[in-house]
Amino acid sequence: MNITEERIVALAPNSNAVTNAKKISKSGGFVKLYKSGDNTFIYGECSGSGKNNYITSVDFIDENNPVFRCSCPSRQFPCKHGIAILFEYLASKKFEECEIPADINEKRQKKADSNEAKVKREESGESKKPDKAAAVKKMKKQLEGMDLAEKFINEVISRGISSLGGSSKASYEDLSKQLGDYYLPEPQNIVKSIVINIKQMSNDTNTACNEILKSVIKLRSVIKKGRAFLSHKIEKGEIPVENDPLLEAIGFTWQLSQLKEIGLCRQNAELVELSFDMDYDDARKEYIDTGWWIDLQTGEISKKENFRPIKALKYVKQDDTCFDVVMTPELYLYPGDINRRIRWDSFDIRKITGSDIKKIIDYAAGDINALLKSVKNHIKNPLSPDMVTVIFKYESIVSDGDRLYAKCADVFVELDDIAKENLTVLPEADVMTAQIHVKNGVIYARPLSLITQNQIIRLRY
Amino acid sequence: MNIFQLQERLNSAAFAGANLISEDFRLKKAIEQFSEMSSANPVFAKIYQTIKPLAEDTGDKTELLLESLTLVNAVCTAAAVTGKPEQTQKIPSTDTIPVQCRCSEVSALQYAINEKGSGRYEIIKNALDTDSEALLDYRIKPYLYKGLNDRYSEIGTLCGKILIKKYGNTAIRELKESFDVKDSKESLKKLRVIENCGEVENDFYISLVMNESAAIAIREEAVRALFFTEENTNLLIGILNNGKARLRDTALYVLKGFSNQVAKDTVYKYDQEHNVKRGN
Repeated sequence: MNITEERIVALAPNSNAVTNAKKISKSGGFVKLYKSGDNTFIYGECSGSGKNNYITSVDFIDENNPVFRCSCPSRQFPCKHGIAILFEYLASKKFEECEIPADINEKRQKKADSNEAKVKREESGESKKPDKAAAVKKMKKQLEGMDLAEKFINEVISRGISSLGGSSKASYEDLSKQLGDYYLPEPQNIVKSIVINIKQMSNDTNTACNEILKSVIKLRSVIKKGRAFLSHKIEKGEIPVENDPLLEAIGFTWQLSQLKEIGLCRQNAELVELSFDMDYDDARKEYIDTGWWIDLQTGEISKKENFRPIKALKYVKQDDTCFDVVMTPELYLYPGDINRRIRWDSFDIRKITGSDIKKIIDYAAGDINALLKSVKNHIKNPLSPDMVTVIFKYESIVSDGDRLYAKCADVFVELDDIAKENLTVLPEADVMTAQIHVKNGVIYARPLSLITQNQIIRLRY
Repeated sequence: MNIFQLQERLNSAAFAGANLISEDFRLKKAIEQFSEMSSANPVFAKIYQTIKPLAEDTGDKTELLLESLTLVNAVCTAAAVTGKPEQTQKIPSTDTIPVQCRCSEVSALQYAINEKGSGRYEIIKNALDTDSEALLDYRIKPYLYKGLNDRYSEIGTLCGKILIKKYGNTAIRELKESFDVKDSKESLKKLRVIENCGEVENDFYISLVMNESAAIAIREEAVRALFFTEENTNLLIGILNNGKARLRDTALYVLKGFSNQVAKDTVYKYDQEHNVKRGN
């Protein structure tokens, strides 16, 4: 059983569970602690607010996917007692040896049988066949929705962006709701963001108009390319599941099994987090936890996104900073060519070493001009994100009195969204993780972290 | 006319509306001027071919405008350049390895110190009571300095306590370095934090008292801080005899708390004189 504090935090649903679990552990909440002879199962009795003690257990039969069980009434999963027993183990408290309870053995057997059946089904190609007729019906509905969205774009541009507001807000809000009925969640989010910017126009007209124009251009590209894509699929009678980032732009939600089916799954990956951040998207009404990770084997920088709708905040686990190396038996990659979204299900953690840092430094781009050219080529596509996260080598951070720059030979890349005081308290570094973007004809780098020979210094989280 | 100016004109057209393009003489002029650049390279030739119909009086302009914007934006992005600063200087750095905690710990504290809303005090107090490592996170220290001026004085006091407890002499040095003698609002709060060091910072208090350009409120607080050591007796007597009214009153108040005979005699004599003047 590999139990470290980092791993416990990664398994916990949120930081409050960790804090409460530590309190339980420190206050001697567990009156009895047991572990199996083969070290795959721990359980304990914990005093709680109820009359009887809670029975809490953690099953490590699958090291990468521990199973938590607890008799407490909490709907949080894993509950604080499950996390607390791990802290008990970490603190090397005395665990008496025990036999694995019969019901646990039964559950293990049931899970093993279920996994075996699943593997057999996959091997024989018996996995659930997609309903073509339903898929075609859906695509036709999406095309109808695209027609509506196109009408909206034409109206906005004909009338003029600066004339938007007042009564048009309500009709655009209706449209955004309708797009959801047409299975177009991402175009729906774009329209929602336009409505939000219309509301902002009285505060800052210039910024709001520019943002609306950007969204309109993006929406138009989604419609144009999406229409061509879906029409082609309908004509051929094909299911639209393929390695194409356009699918997500329309609003397709990938299942991990689908990604695996089309070959977007890597075995035994090791990743290090370069930066982490948390943001609120008003259009989606969701918090988004974004981790920027580098694959130690390929050097690819990808993002792990965790969406937490505000209506379900209590039930969705919040991601947090990870300082160590994540090892996952299956790494799922979303379609795309740069900064792809990644996900994993089961994982383990090991401590980061000096040689891991050295690998990351070796992956950093040395030729800044080539890097910037490739970034510009990517972001000029209206469907691509506005920023590309990269790591690059630099000589020093300099200032001309007003602005900060990363100096790379004779190239000065202006840094934005960072104050000088935040950098002067840090040691010198060799590599920077930054989001490169373009504003008014100038290239900027929004620094996320600095990498020295020994550590990754996070400027965000 | 360059590509960025053309982009600006097209943006303006989108803001005003495609219905009004036929009246947009600035856009027409920009397109005309751009025709001279169209022979420069195939990309500009393509742009010109795309935008040319916008200058004509007929036809639906909406789709044309969007097509033009998409193309011009892409070219502007490709043409973006890096900065060209005139004179630069390397920014300072340190040898210290920064303490870094998780987002959940750091962001909670940052929110509590920086934002408005309920529950902030509890978050900060809990961090102090549990001796949270996040208080030493390098991203938290600037927030603690900012928190000294929180609209709720309890939070300001808490931030001051944390700075002294966790950062000690470093915090004192940094508070003194950023001390503005003319800014009574912020500097008073800094001074009160420094006073946690007691008589160790006596020279600093004296320097403020003697600084006639300092705000009166700061000088007054500095006189109050002379309380930490009775070695300040003669200085306080000097202020009592020659200082401004507010400083005299404060000096008297401090002297009354001293136990040495010189202070007692001075206070007694001062009181007598003032009672005679009042006709008591």
